Amino acid sequence: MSTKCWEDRNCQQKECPVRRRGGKHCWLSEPRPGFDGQYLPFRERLYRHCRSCSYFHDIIERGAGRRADDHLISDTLLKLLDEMGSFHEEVARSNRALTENIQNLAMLNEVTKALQSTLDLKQTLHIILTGVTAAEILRLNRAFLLLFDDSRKNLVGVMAVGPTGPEEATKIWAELKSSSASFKDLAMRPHHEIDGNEYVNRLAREIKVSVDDYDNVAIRAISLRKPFLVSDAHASPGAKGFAAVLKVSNFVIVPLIAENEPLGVLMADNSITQAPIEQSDLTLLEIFAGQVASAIRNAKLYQQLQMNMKELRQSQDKLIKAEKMASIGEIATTLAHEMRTPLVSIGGFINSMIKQQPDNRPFEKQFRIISSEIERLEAVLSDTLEMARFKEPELVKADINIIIDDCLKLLLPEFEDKKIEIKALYNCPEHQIWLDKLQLPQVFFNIFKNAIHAMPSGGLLQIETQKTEPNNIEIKISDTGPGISSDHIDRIFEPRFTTKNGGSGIGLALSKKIITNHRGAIKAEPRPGGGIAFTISIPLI
Amino acid sequence: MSTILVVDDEENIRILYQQDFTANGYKVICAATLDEAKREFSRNQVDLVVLDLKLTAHDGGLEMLRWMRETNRKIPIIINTAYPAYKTDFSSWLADAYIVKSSNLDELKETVEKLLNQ
Repeated sequence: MSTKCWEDRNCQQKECPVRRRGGKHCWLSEPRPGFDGQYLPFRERLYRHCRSCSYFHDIIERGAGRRADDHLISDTLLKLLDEMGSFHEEVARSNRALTENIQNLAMLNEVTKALQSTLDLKQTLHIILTGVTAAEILRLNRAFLLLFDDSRKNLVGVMAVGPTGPEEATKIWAELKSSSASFKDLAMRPHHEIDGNEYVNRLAREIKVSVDDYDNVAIRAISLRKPFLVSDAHASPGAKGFAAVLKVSNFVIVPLIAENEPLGVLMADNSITQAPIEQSDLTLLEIFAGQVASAIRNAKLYQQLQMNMKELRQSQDKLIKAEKMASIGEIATTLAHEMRTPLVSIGGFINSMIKQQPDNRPFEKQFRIISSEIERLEAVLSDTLEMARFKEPELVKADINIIIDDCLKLLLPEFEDKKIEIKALYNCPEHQIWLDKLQLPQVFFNIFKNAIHAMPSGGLLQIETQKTEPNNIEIKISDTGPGISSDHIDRIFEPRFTTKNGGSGIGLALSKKIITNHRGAIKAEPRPGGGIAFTISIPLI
Repeated sequence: MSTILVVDDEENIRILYQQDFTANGYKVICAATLDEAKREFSRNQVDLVVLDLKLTAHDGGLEMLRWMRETNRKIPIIINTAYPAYKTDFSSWLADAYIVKSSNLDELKETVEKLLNQ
């Protein structure tokens, strides 16, 4: 018989951790610490080693004596020991899980802190995706973020994090392991460094899902407000689109919802390691998604705020500029006028002196120089005043029927004089429009004046309004004058075009500009039976 | 001999017009204020009015134009102003002509002649 108990007992151990050097005593009976370089507390030794050691079992049985009761005791002892061992293992497992959970929560806390430290949208998205793939937390290989576009009609891929393939993954993960960079260091990169891997980002940008695609797993996740663990995506009608783009058949998808407003989804997969995605990963991802959604919402609101601020600043600048220009315009106008009146008298007198004096009188040449120089100055002043003349319309809410009536009243003496009959039919039930009270009347006044000119020996001026689609008032003004030839009718609104004796050709061109400024349209056509008909269309309020 | 009423608050302009139109064979009456203009307009047989308009819309020039038009529908009225801006104020279109003041009186004189011959 050998002196080595583990050989005697064939306990499959190469060396007994419990042996006493040179002896064959059981470790259990040797409770000295430091034995064989190991120290385990008595209880630990019992659970871990002795419980499965056949020698130990022998000792117990041998020591139980010969009575049936003795065996009962030894059996019970062994069973109890077994029970306690299992319990011990269970506790150890729970302990490990708890530690892991605490670590996860700590890391989630890290991510949350990182998210709270920025309001920049791009930075926020990068933190989120880094959080999903970071080794310490979810350990997923790749993460993709899909958000609603501005129209809210599509879900589009905006950003992704993850390696291109196994080689790059091994390299990056090895680098990460050896580096001392914390999560915050990884996530809080400067803007130009967070563009990430071009390949995964290109994949992300290929993703576009219509919100009407109810079968799509992303749309379903959003509408049902729950995450999905997709396996065998290639065979699923609602997921095969993603499977084709991402080249993966198992992935997880979590809706992002902040204060009841759906923002998009977070997708992640283990395309490199092919490790299964567990239900526990999904739970953690769901908790994470809540934080993520709030962060995205805040960043988006901040972005909106910044844009509004920028617009506000721009309009403020414009306003200041416009005010400056307006006051410069006023000064120029006043100055030009103040200078013009004396120039008119100086030049006027010089001109009359030139005319009243016979030729070849002393100073005649000098007088002519003075006269032409004054004309030059007047031309400069005219240009200045012309420039100050152009004004943007000041639109106010007003009744267009009243405007037309006012113009008719103003010209009533002339209508009566020329025996022109007026027929006004205001058929449009609505007549409130945005108008410039100085500019718009010019249009009607001008058309009425033309009508008076066209009917020197009487006729009919008819005004008729009606409502037209989508929401316009149409004003038709027709006269029974000689009308205008079809060649001329197309050119009637061109500046400087006139068929009227003594007309400037400015009136209708100006009218068209005014109507355009009122977001309306004006056209002219021959009136059946002679005369001309103008049709003006302006949006109603 | 036709009578022209010149309404202008600038004395030098009144003198210039009086001198020039008189030399051209017209009888010229001048008015420096709107009240004066109304008085002269009612008192005399005026054949044509040359009316100055000032910068502010409230100086009464446009009201004067309306008043004259209502009092005498047929009388030719020429607006003669340093401001081209009034051209786009439709009230001014009640006048028969709109001439921007210039040291060269040819345009004004031609218009006066044309309107009196109508």
